[in-house]
Amino acid sequence: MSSIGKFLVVVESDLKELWRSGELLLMAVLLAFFQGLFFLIGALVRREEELFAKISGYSDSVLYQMAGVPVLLLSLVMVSAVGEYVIELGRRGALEHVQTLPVDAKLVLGAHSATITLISLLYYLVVTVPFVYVRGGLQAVSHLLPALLVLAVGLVPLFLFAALVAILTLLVRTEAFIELVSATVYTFTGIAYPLTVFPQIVVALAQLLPHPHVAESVRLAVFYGIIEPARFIPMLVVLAGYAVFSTVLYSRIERALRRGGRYEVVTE
Amino acid sequence: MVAAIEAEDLQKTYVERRLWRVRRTVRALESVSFSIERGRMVVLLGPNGAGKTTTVRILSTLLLPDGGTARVMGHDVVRETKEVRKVIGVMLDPEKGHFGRLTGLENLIFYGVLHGLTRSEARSRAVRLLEEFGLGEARDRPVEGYSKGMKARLAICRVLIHDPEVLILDEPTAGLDPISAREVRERLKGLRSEGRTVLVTTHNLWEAEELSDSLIVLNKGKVVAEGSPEEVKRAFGLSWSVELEVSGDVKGLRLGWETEVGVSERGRTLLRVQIREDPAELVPVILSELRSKGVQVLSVSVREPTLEEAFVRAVEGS
Repeated sequence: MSSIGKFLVVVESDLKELWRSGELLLMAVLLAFFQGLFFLIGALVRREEELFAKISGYSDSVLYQMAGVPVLLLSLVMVSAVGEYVIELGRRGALEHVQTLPVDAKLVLGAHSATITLISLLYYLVVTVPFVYVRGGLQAVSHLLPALLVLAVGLVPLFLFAALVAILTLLVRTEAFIELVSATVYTFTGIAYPLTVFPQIVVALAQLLPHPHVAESVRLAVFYGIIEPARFIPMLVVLAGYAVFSTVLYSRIERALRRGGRYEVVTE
Repeated sequence: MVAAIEAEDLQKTYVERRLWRVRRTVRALESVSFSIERGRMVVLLGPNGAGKTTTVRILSTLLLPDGGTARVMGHDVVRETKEVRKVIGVMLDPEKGHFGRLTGLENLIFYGVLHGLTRSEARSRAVRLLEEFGLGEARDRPVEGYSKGMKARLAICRVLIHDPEVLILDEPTAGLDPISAREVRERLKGLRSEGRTVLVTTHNLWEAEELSDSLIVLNKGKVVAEGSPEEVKRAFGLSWSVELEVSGDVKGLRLGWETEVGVSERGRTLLRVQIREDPAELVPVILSELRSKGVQVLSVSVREPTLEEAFVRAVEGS
């Protein structure tokens, strides 16, 4: 069987599991709820644009800021979904059984990433269209096409980030690690509120995360319908960096797991 | 001919760390060597912590040994991982390894395709296996609704989906009720008759004796006995007890074996003779000797040494 066949069977199994567990629906509801909430906050704060600019030192509008929120939400969903996936596999003993198959575990993880990425793009489209339409009419909706393109590429480093978190969760063996990372991402990525409110060192460190680059590229695409190379290229660089880093780390951690023989995460 | 499974001086120590500090080390395998011929069913036996699961995990490519080598069908488990994985079917826990929300059929297709079968091959093989293992009616139900016994049978179907030459099964009846455990044992005996090499771990001695062509007894990370159940019993100097109900005076009787005189349940004189050789050959010799000494033998029974006795000696002796 070709690698494509193996890839597809993982995608199919993932979709069936997500659908039957009700997680697909839950993800849609959560994304719609939070997207709506942040849009509402954006609309309310809009009346106080000057005050917002004064506090944050941020020159763009609040709604522009809020356009990056889906990136944060998708990232949080990914970190949680991929982490839970690896933990669940470990808990059910499936991770070990998958490890005994003559297939590269990276293919399985990659197929899982494709499933999550496709679902995320679909959700982004469904959840964002109404808000974009309300804000700017059909003209603004047309901007979603470049935004989707940017997001499709941007979701890759976000997934790699989530995969890294999942792999590290296996190593540190506590589920609480996922919560810690989620809280950190929420706080220091400049998506929920501008990075400009933080000291310069935090701003610089946050650039190592994929989120600010992806969010900014998506904002530009949604608002102006453009793919800005000045933003898009750093995102690709971060993507490449994460790809190399996660591949090296994965190999090392896989070997560490094989040396230590622990594939299960402590969840209590 | 290349042995199906070969282990030579396998060593493994687990190091438990808290951050960078070593909390404790556990020597799981001191030095384990054995060889299993093709087509044999071998039981790896030992008390808890003997190193059975560690050995199985090394052979399954899940764990790296610290020292020594292991080969499955001629492939090194450390350097030729992919080749080893192609020829083995692994069950680490009869209840684990399934995707609960997928059906039995979908689970088998998933594993079959990842083992390199085409989708149609995987499907037709899965359908046949599910029928063969009595899961035909449940094949389209999510696995999370299966009983423990059904999950165990599905686990056997899973390890057979790609028709492997070598099966590695870690405690395949653990946690099962007696009926399900018997079902699984019957299926395992069927696998032996198909000519596959099967390595099974258990600490159920009765099960070990029933299933195995030969045994490997592990204790404290070392092989302490090896061979067929009979050979293992003999290796530990265990004796058969020949019990003879006799009439006549046997008090001063001297035979060439260790004897003991008592009273049987029926109130007759009971002569108990301990022998270490094959009773089929020795009992006629004992009878003729007693006859020549004027002792009339009323009944004869032979009590075999149990594997449990051999196991206890092996473990305590090491």
